[in-house]
Amino acid sequence: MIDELKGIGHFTLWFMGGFVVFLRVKPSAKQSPKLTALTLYAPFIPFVLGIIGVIPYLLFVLGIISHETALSGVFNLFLFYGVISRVEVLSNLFSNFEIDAVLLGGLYLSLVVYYIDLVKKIRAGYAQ
Amino acid sequence: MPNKHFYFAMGAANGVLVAYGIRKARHWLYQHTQWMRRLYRWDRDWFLYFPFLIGLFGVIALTPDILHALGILPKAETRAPVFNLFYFHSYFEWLENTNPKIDWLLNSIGSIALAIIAIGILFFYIAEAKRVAQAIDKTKQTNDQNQKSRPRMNKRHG
Repeated sequence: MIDELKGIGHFTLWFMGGFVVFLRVKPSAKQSPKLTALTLYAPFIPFVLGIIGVIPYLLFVLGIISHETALSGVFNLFLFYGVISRVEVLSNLFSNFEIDAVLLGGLYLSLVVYYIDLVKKIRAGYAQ
Repeated sequence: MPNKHFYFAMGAANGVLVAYGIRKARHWLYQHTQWMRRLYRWDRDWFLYFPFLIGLFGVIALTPDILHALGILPKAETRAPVFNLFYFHSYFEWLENTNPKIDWLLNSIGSIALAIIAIGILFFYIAEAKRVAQAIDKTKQTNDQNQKSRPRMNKRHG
């Protein structure tokens, strides 16, 4: 029997997906920094995708919907929750809480480094 | 037992309070302590690195679990009263044993606290970026005004 992917696994998976999107949309290192909405809020993309991906699990944990309903077709609107829950490879990769915590911590750290770099560049860029 | 993230969140919450306290007292500390002056000399944006301090507090809260994971102490000994020094570690372990629902509650509180701290730190950086940009804009405007008024003064004196 395949172990289903739990909430933390879904969050980690989509946080990683969001991080890839963030890397694609963030201004490149050579560009001079400007305080646009994208520059400032791009690091929230991983959080937004992660939260959307975990909504059916939260509804199930809070007792609002049943386990079967969470896995049913309509909840695939939340980033393919039902489909992803049953994919064995993803379940094997993201079912370990410690591994998920390390992955999330590492990615979050790089978001913090991005912001530190941004503030430093704004100071340097404006000062010229 | 409560998951590790609950203890990490407890430590991180304490780290946030310490960071906030140091930021509030930075002017006083600059006038009265050598290390704060050294910190400013090292990097005037030193406060940007405070999330690392928050993380460090989180790791300190995990000390009993780290000691157990490294094989230094058995699990039973990490529940001795002395480990209450690490954010009431032993007390929370006991509390969870007396009522299983508490475990779920503590884990949920830990998750919510971590999410608030993590997102709050990102909002702090956004505010900091805006503040730095505004401060530099203001300085630029003042410099421009000074430059404009200087030739007029020269003419008058010339």
